[in-house]
Amino acid sequence: MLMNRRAVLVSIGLTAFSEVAWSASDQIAVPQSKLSNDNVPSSEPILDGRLREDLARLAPRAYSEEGIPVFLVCENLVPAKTSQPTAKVTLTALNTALTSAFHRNAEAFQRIHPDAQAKDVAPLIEVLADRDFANGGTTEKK
Amino acid sequence: MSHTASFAERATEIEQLIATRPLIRAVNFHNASRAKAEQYDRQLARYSQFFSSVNQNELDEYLTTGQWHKPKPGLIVSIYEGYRNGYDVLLPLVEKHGFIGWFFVITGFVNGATKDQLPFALGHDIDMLTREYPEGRYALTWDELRKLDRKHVIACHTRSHTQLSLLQPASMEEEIVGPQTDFRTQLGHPVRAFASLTGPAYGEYAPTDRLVESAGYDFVFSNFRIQRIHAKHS
Repeated sequence: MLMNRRAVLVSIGLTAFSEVAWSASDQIAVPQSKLSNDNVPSSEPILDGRLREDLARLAPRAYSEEGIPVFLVCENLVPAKTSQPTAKVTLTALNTALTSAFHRNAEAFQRIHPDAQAKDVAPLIEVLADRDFANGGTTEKK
Repeated sequence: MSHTASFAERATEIEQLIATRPLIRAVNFHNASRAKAEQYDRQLARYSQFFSSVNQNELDEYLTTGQWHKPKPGLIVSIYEGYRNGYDVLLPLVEKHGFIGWFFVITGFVNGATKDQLPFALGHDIDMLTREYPEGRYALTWDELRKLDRKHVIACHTRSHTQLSLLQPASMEEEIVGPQTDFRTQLGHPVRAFASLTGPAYGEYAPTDRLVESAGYDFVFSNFRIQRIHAKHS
């Protein structure tokens, strides 16, 4: 399972720096890197510990009274709805780094919270955004 | 919307989007307490070192081409609900640090008489942890919104801040198309961006998609996405 995960990350890295067609009708250009409870690597203590700390640090924030950093994915749906040509988009180092960081930390999240639900993806994104903003707009791959 | 996604399914979906779509940073504010003004000032000062402002045309171009043309990456400063302190407390700081504020307004909150604003907030999931206006006006006025509209972005956050997928069609229309009528009347033009409470994103729920289309919004903001659904209206 670990080999599969590495293969996925390598493939994502190669893909993210190339030009990809970008529209709602695109087939996703990366291999399916499905996360499931069955293929989560057993332990990465440093990664898990850091995530656990950051989740605990950010959890007490009063959402309504603080500025909460997030990432948003941009989708242009117009070409799919019209006959406009699809733009060619050069994806960036941020795509690569955030994809890697998200994948690894999603696995860590499942180890920490085996009963995680779909809504728990939001706090995970917020942890990654908080780290990125604190680093001046730099996302580490882990 | 009957299938409830698991964490793994949602994470896989988001990971694929992150890998293949342009990304943008945003910081979400709501009830900007004056007691925390120094904290917001430090936060925005730091962000201004690393990130650039984003206006609607810049977002439109980025969504269209995927290319960002400023030296520093863009940061959308989102200010939700239509709290009065978005104008009194946050706006001076947003401008001091060179950002554009994106004010996502619940028009029912703004339309309410002063005496009705606190009950409206408490009944519509608008957090009121801090209550700094003893006279009771907690929402922006349309005069304030018209001033904001000259330089910043006014956007729609529905009329009542309710979960759209739980509504009957007529109520859904009231929440999506209705506020656009308010904006046309009060600002003299429709707004381009729409966000609802907890989504859905465009494409996730056909009934809301149809109404978002008919209301003439260009951008749909949701938890993880900004979607461009129309070319810019003239």
